[in-house]
Amino acid sequence: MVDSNLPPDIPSLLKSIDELRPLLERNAAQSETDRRVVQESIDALEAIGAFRVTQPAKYGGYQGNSRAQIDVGAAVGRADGGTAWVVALTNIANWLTSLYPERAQDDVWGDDPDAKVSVVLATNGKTTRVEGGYRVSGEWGYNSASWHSSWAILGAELVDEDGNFVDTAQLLIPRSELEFKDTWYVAGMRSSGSNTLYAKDVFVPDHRVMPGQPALLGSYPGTDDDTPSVYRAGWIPVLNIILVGPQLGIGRAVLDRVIAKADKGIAYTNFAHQSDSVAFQLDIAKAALLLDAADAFALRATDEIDRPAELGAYPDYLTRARNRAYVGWIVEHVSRAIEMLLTAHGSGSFAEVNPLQRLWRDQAVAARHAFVLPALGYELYGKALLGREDGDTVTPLV
Amino acid sequence: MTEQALVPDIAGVLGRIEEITPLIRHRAAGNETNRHLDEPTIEALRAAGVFRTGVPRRFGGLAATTREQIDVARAVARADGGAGWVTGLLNSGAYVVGWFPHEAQEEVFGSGPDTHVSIMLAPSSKASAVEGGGYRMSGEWRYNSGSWHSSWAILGAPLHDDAGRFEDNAIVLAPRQDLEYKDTWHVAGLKSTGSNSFVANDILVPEHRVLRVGPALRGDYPGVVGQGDDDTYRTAFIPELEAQLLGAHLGMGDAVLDLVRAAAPTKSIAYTTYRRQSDSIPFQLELARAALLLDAAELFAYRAADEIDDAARNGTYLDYAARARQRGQQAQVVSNVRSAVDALMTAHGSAGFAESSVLQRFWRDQATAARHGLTLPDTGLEVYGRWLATGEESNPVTPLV
Repeated sequence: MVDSNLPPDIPSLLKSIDELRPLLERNAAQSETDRRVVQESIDALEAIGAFRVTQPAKYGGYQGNSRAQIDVGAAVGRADGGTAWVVALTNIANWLTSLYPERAQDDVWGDDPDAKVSVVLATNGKTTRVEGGYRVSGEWGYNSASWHSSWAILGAELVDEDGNFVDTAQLLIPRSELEFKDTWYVAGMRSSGSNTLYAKDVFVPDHRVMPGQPALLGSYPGTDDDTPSVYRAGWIPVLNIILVGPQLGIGRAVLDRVIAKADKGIAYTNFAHQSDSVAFQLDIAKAALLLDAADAFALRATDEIDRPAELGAYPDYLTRARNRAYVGWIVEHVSRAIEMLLTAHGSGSFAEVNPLQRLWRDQAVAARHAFVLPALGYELYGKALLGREDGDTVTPLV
Repeated sequence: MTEQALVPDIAGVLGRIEEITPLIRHRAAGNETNRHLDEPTIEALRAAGVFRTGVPRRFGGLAATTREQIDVARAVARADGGAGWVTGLLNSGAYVVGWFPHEAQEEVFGSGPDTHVSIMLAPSSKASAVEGGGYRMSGEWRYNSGSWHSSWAILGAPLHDDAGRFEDNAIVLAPRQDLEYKDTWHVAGLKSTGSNSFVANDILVPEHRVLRVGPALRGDYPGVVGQGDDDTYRTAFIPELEAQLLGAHLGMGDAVLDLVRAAAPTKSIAYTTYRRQSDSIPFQLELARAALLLDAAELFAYRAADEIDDAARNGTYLDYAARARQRGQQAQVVSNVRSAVDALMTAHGSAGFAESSVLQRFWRDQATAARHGLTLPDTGLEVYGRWLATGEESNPVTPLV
């Protein structure tokens, strides 16, 4: 599909991902067993540039917008959930890296333009102010793509010289200065390797510190009026919406597989073929429409993020709150579609040899990422629609 | 809701299930890894009298009503989904033996009420009549829940006469030693149920171990003929078999709601200012919706059970309209629990998916159980919907009404 909203080259990247699908599907079970995406898949994705969707062009990246991130996440998700999560989370971490001063970007990509970054926003880090930066200690769970990244962005609370809280911040730290613990034992998304990182009194220079308050208002330390528009988009809206990319892809993968097997029979009925059942046909239609609706909302959401960025405007609160609501809404629709499709397909969906049960578990776990939970998005949007200004009492992350 | 009085025996079993709940919960993770219930779990259930639920009274069983069978499976499933499912299915197997001729009942329970019988209705086999009576049967049946612990199996088999012409579908009783066993149960949920495969190679099935589906669908059972038989077994064939699957769902739903509620006053909501989930009104609304879905499931399940049991007591067979509605209602029970469990997992958040959390096991177990062929929502809707729309007392989709 040719679409003028896409940056140049993204369509060809999507085509390359489609061509890799058989390989990614073949490695999915092993990746889950290993709790780490197998290196062959990572290498193949790296070779076509799938981890460089958001990297600035000056390092050879696609410099892609939020729409590009979602399309890439979805394309990989059509093959495997865990692999898609690793790709999507690496690309969002690379986008965040691109918001730091150029010196920090050079630290990461100057010598190795294929360097990958992981990200955990939770502000678990405790800091002390020192000459030229901060010293940080802390522990962060859920670092997706931790097996493949050489840098990490980690949340912390900044203090002044007297130890008084100043702001939250995201710190960019080389993995060589962090300790790693294998803690990711979860019912789904097993191959995402979302393990734990520790910092023990690590020095972080000022140019690798991104303060939270300005970021929430669209002001990033590495951007100015000449910065490409994709790096001036809304912080939380981009961080939030890209999480639906794998979801959309997994939903399509389930639909693809259930349709492909629709010639099987239905237990305890006279249907020799599921496809002969009108009730089954209705299920397929409803599930496909749920996924179509999710796609359409994702398009609308990215449009509301990418277009203001191109115009140099920062979206207002209502728009940002609505964007958080879109995400929960999209995820709910994908969850319902998958649930319906597995019921239509029947108990065979749950055999361990069937990729459907892995896609189901992967999507279900991703659907409970704290950032996509529908209740919060709806509460923020509802408060904003009512003209109330108490959204910040629930969360400042809008 | 009005609780019908439980016979003292069943009340006693339910009390003992509560006592062994910590043990069953404690062993659930290991049982899942080993893909069957271990001896301490099975022994605790057996000692509690759980597996006597469906056994006819004259063999020392409890001859439980449909409602009571649901209660027992539900109570066990509150501790663990896999154990609850095995309970429901082995009790179903024992109960269905009560429909077979007395000679077969004697063979199974003559030595005591603690004989376990697995049950698998799908006719994935062929049986041919032999001279002098009975059939020779070959076939392979998957999904024999509780097979690890059973010494008899109830298996679906299409019957053919000696000229090879189809006679009727049937379920037959076969001793475990006549069957080969294949370890095939590798599934994302209900792992501990050991729902493995049985294979029969040309085994002899005597006539008294054959229950024909045609008459059974009209409420005509060779084992329920006259004086001395328990009224409990005069139930409608398909409604009863389907209802025996519901208790485990209700119990898993109860457990998930209890666990999510218990965590709410101390668990925060990530990336928000809520220090306690219980302070969040969206969380409260989700909890209310899920609880109402479970309440509705419970009402449907017990309404179906009481309708079955009342008819059995009165010696009447449920008419087609009632049976068609039963298929719709019972499937709705399963759909409701599925929706509630999913919503509760969302309300609780990502921690529920950690392998160390019992929630994710309940979630996988219930989701897998929800796709059992007999409770699939589409079939329930098709059966009930066609009757509503046409009033016709037959359905091209399935004769199993």
